[in-house]
Amino acid sequence: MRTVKYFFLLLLLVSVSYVVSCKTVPQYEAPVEPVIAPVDVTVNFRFIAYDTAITNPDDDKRCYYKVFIDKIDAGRTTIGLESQKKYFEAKLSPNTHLIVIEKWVLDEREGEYKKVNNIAQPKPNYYYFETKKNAVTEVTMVNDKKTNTAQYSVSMQ
Amino acid sequence: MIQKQLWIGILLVVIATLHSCKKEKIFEIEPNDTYTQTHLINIGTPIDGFFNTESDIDFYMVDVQAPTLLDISVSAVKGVNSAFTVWKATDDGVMPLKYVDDMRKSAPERLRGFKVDVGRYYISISHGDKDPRIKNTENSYTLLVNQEDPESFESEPNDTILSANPLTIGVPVRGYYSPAFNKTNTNAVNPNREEDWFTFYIDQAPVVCDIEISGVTGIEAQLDIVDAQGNVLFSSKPQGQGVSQIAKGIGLSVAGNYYIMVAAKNYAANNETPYSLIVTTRSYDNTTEIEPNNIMASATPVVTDTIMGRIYPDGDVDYYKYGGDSSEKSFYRVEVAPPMTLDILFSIYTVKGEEVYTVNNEVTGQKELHPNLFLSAPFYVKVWAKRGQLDMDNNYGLAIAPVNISNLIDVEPNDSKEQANAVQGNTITGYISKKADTDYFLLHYKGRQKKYFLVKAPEKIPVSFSVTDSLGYILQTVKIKAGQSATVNEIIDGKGYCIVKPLNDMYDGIYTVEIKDKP
Repeated sequence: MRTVKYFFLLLLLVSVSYVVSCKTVPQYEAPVEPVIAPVDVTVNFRFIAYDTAITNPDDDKRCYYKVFIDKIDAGRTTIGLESQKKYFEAKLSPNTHLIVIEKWVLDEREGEYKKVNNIAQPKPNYYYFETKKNAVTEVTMVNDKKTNTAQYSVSMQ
Repeated sequence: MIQKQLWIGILLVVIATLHSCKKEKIFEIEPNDTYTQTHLINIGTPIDGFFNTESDIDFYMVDVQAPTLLDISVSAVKGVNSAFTVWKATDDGVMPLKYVDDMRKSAPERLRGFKVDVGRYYISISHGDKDPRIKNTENSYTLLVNQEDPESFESEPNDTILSANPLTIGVPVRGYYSPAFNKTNTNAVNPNREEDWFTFYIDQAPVVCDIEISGVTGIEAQLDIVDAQGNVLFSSKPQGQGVSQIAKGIGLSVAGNYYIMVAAKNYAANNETPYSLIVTTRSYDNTTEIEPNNIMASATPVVTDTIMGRIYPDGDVDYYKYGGDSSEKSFYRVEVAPPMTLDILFSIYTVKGEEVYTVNNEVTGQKELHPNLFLSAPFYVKVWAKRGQLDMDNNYGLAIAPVNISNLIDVEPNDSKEQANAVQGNTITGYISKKADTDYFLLHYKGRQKKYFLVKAPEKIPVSFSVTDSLGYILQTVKIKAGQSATVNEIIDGKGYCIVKPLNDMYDGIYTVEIKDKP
């Protein structure tokens, strides 16, 4: 009789602990497409990219970076010479995010931008970063054009 | 023996008969160097004469009993450039009517279709001016004056506008390209050209007249129409020898006298076949062009939806003026539907005469059009055909209609970024206006903005749609099938361009682009 009593008590404890544990699992959030911020909208993420090791102005092409955040096409940076800083801003949910970039360079003969060959894309072409609600996360990517080696740095402002 | 004598007798009779049948030549009687010393000749009877001296002139006198048409010919004299003059006796003496000289040596002279009234006339035969005057007392000339029925013939001399023969509208008149030269014609442009002038009267204007002159072998005809102020309304273009000349649809806007000049090019003459000239008129109903409209100043006004015209003769150019007096620009659709024989073209001109656009998309027999002409009225349309093409019998139709489509901002030419049309609202409506038409539109926004472009291609024309950076370099391009839609999103860094291009050879199709802030 005593054994049965203990068994029911144990079962009750297991059930309660299960219910409690279910309540603490984080709820799934659908990916939020980054909002390209008009000037009057506060942003909390900024991406800056530029190239170094350009020794000849002829090699300093007009370009931009296509930006994917959390694997969603989020837009592109501003356009400028490879050596110039190019910007992308967005308002993101406070979380860890993945940025993947894709370099596009102007083909002056064709009059249009063309995606740079994968071999010449900056490596790595991705970076994980954190965002907060009331701070701006700034990710800077510096690409060595000779080696196509990208270095990322992050700061929170 | 008797038989022999009989044969001799028959032979003698035959010889005597033949001798009596031989025509006696009639010779001039010198001196006949002035009209007072001349002698009368009979019409139809030839008379021979000589150039007895280097300055010999032989006068002959003809009495005309009834109005008639004279055919005067002088045979050739070897080595001599001959000429003759026809004179009319007046109370004061004589008056020269016509000088005939083809300026060739050893060549005959002839004047045919010379209408004369009752009276006395003189014919003086002399040396021509061109060659040295030489005498020839061995070879005679023969002067022959014949007459013909003068009914419906021109009345020479009608060599100037002042001596133009009156014409009756609808009644043909005939005349000869004779003689080859008119020495009294001192016109600087066409010196010595033999011209026949006619005149007709228009009592009610406006009317449209058609004038036709038949073709004559060996003659390339020139036909001019002149108003009472001396303005040339029509001047025919070369059509070749033996071909008729037609002035069709000549608009006569003012009542009064009008004049027609007929001449042969290159001093050619034909004394055998007359030309026939006829003038007909019809009332003007605003649905046909009024020739001459070969220059902007004489453009035919367009007051109906469609106006008809003809490309005739070769090289004909027709100007039309689309009316109104609007300072505001509007869209118009301009179409020219040619007959199957013509490869037609047209150009658009502003009221200041500046060429805005030339349309030449299609081949022979195909319609040319501009679906979205944007300018202020009045404006001019010039219609013509490819070189060497003409059609005397078939009309082309010119149609001009206002276009009222909301958000139509496609103002041609906008084929480059420098010509781009600025986008004011959120919708672009445009036309593929011609083959391979490229349309640029300029986008201006405050700061960086992401935009969604919903593009709908024309029903029968697949298009490509591109968005560019601020310098006009393409950021991305999408291809959209005919009649279908696609959405493109792109960030505009303050300024950018949209480019629409057709992907086949078709045109005259409407596309739309909706620009949105959200998908």
